[in-house]
Amino acid sequence: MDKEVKKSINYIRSKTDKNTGFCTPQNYFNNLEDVINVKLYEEKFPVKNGFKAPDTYFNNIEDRFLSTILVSKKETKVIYFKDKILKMIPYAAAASIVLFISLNSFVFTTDEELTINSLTDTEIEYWLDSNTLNTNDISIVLEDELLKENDFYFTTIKDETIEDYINSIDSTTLLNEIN
Amino acid sequence: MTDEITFIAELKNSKTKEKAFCTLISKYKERLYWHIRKIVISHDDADDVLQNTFIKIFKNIDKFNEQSKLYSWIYRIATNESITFINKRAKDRCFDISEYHKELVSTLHTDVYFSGDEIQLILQKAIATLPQKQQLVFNMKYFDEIKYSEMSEILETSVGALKASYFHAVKKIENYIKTQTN
Repeated sequence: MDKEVKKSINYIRSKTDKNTGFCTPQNYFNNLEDVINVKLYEEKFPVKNGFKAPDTYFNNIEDRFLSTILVSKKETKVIYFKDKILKMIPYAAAASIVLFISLNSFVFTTDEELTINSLTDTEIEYWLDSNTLNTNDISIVLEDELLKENDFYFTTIKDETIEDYINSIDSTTLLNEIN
Repeated sequence: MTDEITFIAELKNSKTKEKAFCTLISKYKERLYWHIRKIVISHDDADDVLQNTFIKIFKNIDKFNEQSKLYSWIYRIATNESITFINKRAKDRCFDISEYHKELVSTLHTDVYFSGDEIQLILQKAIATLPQKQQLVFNMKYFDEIKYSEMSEILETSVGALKASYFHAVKKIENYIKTQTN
């Protein structure tokens, strides 16, 4: 048996060169003592952490959790769409007003100066119809422009001119006005 | 022999235990690693088992009765730790132990810590086909050249039974290699 084993061993060795092929990470054996010593210190640490639960804590724990869950499960409040809309109307109205004022004040305001030329005839007629004018208003406006005109003083008008004017107008119209 | 008795006494003395234990690790770490590695195959697993082995030695040194050599006792712990580890792994993965061993070896070519060539891979596959006891005997005799008498102490098996195991192992491996290489 020994001879047969020797023969087989020689064959295996000739083929495999007595090497397992296994290897280790570099320097694996260098600090193995430290690694094992650290593990030994860990082994000395207490296994128990010292915490303790009340004796009956785990008895019926399922029932206690379930009852807590059921109590805390409140009825869901239903909010109707109609009520919500009605509540929102005053806010929407207020928001619209604020928006309208803001747009008029900031957005649609232009720097273009208003002149008499920029107004249409229709706008002026509407204004005259809708506002009561008195002579004071007119005198304030015309004071500087027209009333200082010397042309309107009767002393400066020549007699011939007055006569021509009287001759030119219709006498019946004058008589009617006097009457 | 006197040296070993003194060393064991140092290991058992609480004042000198840690220092003596560091010496023990330095002395046996490589031999034990390679013994374990051949059983569990992967480096990471061998590292785990090696650490557990030394911790077990540290904790149980007082129970060492000195009827066998310290070396044999340490080797026995390493062997038992390795076999327990690999059996547990096989069980966790629902494998029969012999099937699990073949599975481990089948992925060896992708292991970064295997640098063997094709024939060495074939040798590992051949070893994986053996029953666990024959694997142990072959590895210890062929690679580590442990004497039958020492192996008998480590594995707690008679020398005759070990020789028979080795004979069967060698014949199976020779046949496997011939089949794979011819």
